[in-house]
Amino acid sequence: MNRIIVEGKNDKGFIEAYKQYLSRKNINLQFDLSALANGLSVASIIDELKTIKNDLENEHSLNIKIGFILDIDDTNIQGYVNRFTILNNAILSVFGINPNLSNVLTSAICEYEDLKIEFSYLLMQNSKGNGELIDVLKEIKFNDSLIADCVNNCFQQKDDYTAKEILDDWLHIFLKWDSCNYNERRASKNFGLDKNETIQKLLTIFNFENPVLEELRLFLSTFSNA
Amino acid sequence: MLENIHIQNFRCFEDFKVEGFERINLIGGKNNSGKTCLLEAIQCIDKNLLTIAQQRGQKSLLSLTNYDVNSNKITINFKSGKNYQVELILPNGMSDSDYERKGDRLEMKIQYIKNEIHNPEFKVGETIEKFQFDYPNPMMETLVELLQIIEPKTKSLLSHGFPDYTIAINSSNKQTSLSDFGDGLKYLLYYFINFIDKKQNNDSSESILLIDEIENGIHYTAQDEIWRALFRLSKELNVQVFATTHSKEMIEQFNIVSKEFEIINNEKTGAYFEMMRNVRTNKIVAHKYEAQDLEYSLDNEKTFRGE
Repeated sequence: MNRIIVEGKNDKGFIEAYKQYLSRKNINLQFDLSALANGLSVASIIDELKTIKNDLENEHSLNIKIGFILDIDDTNIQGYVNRFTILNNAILSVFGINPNLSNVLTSAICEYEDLKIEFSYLLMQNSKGNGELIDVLKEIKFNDSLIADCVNNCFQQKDDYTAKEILDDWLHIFLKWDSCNYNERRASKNFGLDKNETIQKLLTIFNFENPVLEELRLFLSTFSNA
Repeated sequence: MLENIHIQNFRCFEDFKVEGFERINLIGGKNNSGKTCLLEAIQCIDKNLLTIAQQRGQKSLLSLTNYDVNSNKITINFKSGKNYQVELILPNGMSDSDYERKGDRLEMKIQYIKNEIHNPEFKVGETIEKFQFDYPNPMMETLVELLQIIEPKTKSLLSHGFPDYTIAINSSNKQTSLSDFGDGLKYLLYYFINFIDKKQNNDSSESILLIDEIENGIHYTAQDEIWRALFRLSKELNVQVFATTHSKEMIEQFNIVSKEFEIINNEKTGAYFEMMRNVRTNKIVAHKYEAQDLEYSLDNEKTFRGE
């Protein structure tokens, strides 16, 4: 099975929702998602790639694809170079092969034992070039995010509040307090974003037709059956 | 210390390699993934192949070869600082003298503990009786310490001779026969008697302890202490341990203790190996998990144990 690695559980929930959205439009994609457990770093990607490498023993197909979807964060040219370097080095460390990728929406097919593995990368950014998932989500939301924005603004006053916490909290608050009614909030106490009920909710609160997702759609479509 | 092994045409192995054994090695994997066969292959260091076949009630050496390999030659290469090879060509090689043993022979005593111990009391009691003569001694104290992992009231060990080996427990010296204890305590005694025996004889030579299905009869709350004892004694007494397991809890506790020892001693002591069949080639492979790899898989609910 093809695999796409994302930075965290929020990204995983969002991509899973988009996958289901595309499936409803008869664009059937073939991949499993996994999230980095300890944030973005070479070590963290290596940890995840090692588990994938072990899983390859159970892989029937001789051709598989491994993709990465990361936030770019720093949108200047050095930001791109840094991300590609991290990914190329991590793959080299685990598989002993270097895809040498330096562009999004391109791929490199590498031979590993009896398999051909196609690697590809995507760096998320919104229409203004801001490279965080939260920037994309704010651009494609159907509803106002009054409560989420308000709470987020308050939290940002704290010096030790991290960017990851801002994303996690904004999305959770938006989901629960801006997008659910009283009964829905009562019914789903735990909004883990990789849970199916939450994914179904995501499908109703974001506009997956927004053009800002075009690059993501193109990237995911390379993981189709065809 | 055994570092690598390369097995060809033996049991379920067509061509199987493992590299990077540590002092304590835990081996996981589904049924029929070759865990016990790996222990049998290691036994070939000091046992003849017919003995190994007979352990499973088999009389023919042909039963040791792999059905899928069109060859009558079994080869097992061991690396332990030096290279050593056991080679047997069938059907002519029907006795130990027909083997070809190449390279520098490894002088290691191998002790194999199968998961079906018919009479652990006998071996344990025999050893206790042997130590009675100069009791108390540090070895007996170590044994009592180990027994206290499972039975905290244990104060001493006594033997009234076969078949009624007796463990005396609690401060009032109430004596209880070993046969009245559960399997967990018997297995534990059986594992550690091998270490104690070695210590008693001032034997500092390299040896290997093979334990099949180490979790048998051991409650999960005692597993971490058992690993600590195994890690400590294996270093003290120069014993390399290979244990198989199906138990997730046993693997989790192994990893906790393995990391503890790595920090305390500033050296790697334990490694987990996962055995599985590659679905494309149908060959058995093994993956080594360092402590941090295993922790990552355990913490993030990744597949392991060949799942």
